Amino acid sequence: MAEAGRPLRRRAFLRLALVLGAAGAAAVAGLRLRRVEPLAGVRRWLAPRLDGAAPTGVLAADEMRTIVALGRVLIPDDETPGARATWVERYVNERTARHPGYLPEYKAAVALLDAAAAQVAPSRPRFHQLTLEQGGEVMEDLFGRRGSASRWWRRVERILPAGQRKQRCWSFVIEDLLSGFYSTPAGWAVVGYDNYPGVPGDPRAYTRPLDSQVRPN
Amino acid sequence: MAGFTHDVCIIGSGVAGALVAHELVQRGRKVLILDAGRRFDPTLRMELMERAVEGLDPWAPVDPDPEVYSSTGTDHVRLEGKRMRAVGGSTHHWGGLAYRMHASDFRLRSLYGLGEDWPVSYDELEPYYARAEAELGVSGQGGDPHASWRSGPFPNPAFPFSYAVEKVVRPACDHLGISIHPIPCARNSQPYRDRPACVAFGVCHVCPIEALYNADIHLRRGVATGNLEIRPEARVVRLAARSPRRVTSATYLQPGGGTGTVEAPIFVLAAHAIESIRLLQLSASPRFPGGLANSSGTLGRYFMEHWATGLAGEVEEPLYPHRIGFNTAHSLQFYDTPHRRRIGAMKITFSAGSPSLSELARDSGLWGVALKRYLRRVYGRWLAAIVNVEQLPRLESRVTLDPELRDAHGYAAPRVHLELGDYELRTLLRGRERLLRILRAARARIPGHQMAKFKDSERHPIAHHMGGCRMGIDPAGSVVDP
Repeated sequence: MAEAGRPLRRRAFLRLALVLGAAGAAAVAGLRLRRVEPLAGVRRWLAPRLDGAAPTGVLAADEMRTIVALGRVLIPDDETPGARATWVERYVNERTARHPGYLPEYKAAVALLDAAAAQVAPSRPRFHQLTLEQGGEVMEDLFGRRGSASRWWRRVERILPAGQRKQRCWSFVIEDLLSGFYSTPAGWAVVGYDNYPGVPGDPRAYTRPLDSQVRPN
Repeated sequence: MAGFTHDVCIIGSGVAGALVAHELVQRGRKVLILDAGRRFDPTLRMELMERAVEGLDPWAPVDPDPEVYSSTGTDHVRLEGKRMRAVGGSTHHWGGLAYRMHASDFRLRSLYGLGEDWPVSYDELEPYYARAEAELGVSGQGGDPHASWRSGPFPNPAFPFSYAVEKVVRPACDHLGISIHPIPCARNSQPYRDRPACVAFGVCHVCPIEALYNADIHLRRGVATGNLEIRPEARVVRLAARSPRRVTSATYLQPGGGTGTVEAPIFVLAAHAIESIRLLQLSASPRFPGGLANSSGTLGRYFMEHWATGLAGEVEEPLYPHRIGFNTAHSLQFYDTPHRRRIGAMKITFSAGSPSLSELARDSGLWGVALKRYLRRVYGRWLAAIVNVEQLPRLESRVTLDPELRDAHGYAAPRVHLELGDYELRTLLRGRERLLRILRAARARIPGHQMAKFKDSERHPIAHHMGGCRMGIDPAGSVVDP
């Protein structure tokens, strides 16, 4: 029976595979026709979200020191000025006071950075006590795989519980500081725009190339 | 009129309410405007702009209340930052795009078997479009073969195309046979009436000199006549009507607490697409259980948005984007085509300012000096094309009162339910295909994550809220008559 049954099972399997394959192809075609993307839905579901019901407020002075130090690491001085403490304080205070959800994210970022700092320099267990170089090491430890790899890695990291805190710190604090700073005149100065934004100028200058473009390094 | 302090009470002081008020007070009518938002000193605009360039929300001090709403349907709609509760309304932070509807939009049912025809035609409305453009000071250029006819030129000449458009967009579109044209915008390209010309502050969402039109300009002119009174922070929560066709009073919350009531012979409801619907619904009574103007059951239905999707690519030479704060070129070539029965209207615009510097920084995955170097290397070498598409009016796309959610004053919050169908999704897909062709013709290198959009139906609502109070000649199927 076993000998006789094998070809039958194989045929049945092939028939089943054919039916399932056809059904799968039809389903995919249907999804494409309807422009439904199950993976897009999963991505949206996994994306970190702010807690809109969280209380608003401002960071304690000690916590703000850590965020100011983070700003210095994220946007250091080079040939153009980096993020100044006064800007970071004003920006972050307004963000956490006015926009529900940001205060706990900034507090969590302080905890994450301080914990990482203690590992890099046990004698200086707070992030704001580190040198600029040590601060960079902490950033590298936490987020170092982002720069090149990393669209793929970011996707994987999002679904790992251990990566969630880092992911939230990156999404709601680091990206927030970067996008805030690079909206300011100091940020635009990095690419040679010394007359934008917020300064009146030649209203037709935008029709011509920029006179003095900063050369790439 | 006898027995009334005001001839007309207008609810809402955005562009519609302000222009109606301005027309009335010029004719000697006494007008009262009730607005839920604050009034602010226009001389503060420079200060608000400085907030914007520091990366802060410039309008937070003017409109500090959080949006309370819910959103259901195929697509989530975000209202935060998309509309403004202030005297002058959302014109304080709008982009200033001043498009007319296309003549075909009024006859979609007759021409293509879609939606419904309007009870008025473009030809009837054209003189009013011209007057509105004159009031707003719209800059533009006639002669676009894909726009509808005009009885006269724009009040102001068009802004010239940006360097990016001349350098890469125009050659690419010429190659593909796509005609581009200056975007009509309510922004002064030259001094106009009592407003100055744009001098490129580059912060259009809070124009500090009012070269960009905002409705407060007409409100101030109206107040100067002595015929217009504005009550800010007066949130109307109920309208009372003695008959189905006549509102008699409005009840509003006073800023210090308590309520006030205004009676007037005529009321004009101009409180934003969603809030006007909501107020009519909040005004339900035993006589009008479905809300005012809702004997047809149509109130809130056929609500619509415009949907956008974009594609960006890297070009060889820097395009020096931004510096002016707005886009200068569009194509309406694919707006009204013979295929509109299957592919909806689309408008294509071009931007060298996307991704912006902050978007590049945020999405780079970099920080520190490495990020600065990266920005110096890549910024300004991106060209983006964006397509906006129409949404059909659908019975199930509607604004209702949320059964549970309440605003800060205890009134039912709006629930926005939007349904996109194959028509819109097909149009978005076709739009992206057109963008891809244009970017390739511009020799732009399109990175993988941009191309991935073709596998995804990525789209964004762009806060052009429309519908919900359908105009018609049959009371059984409409909310307002012509």
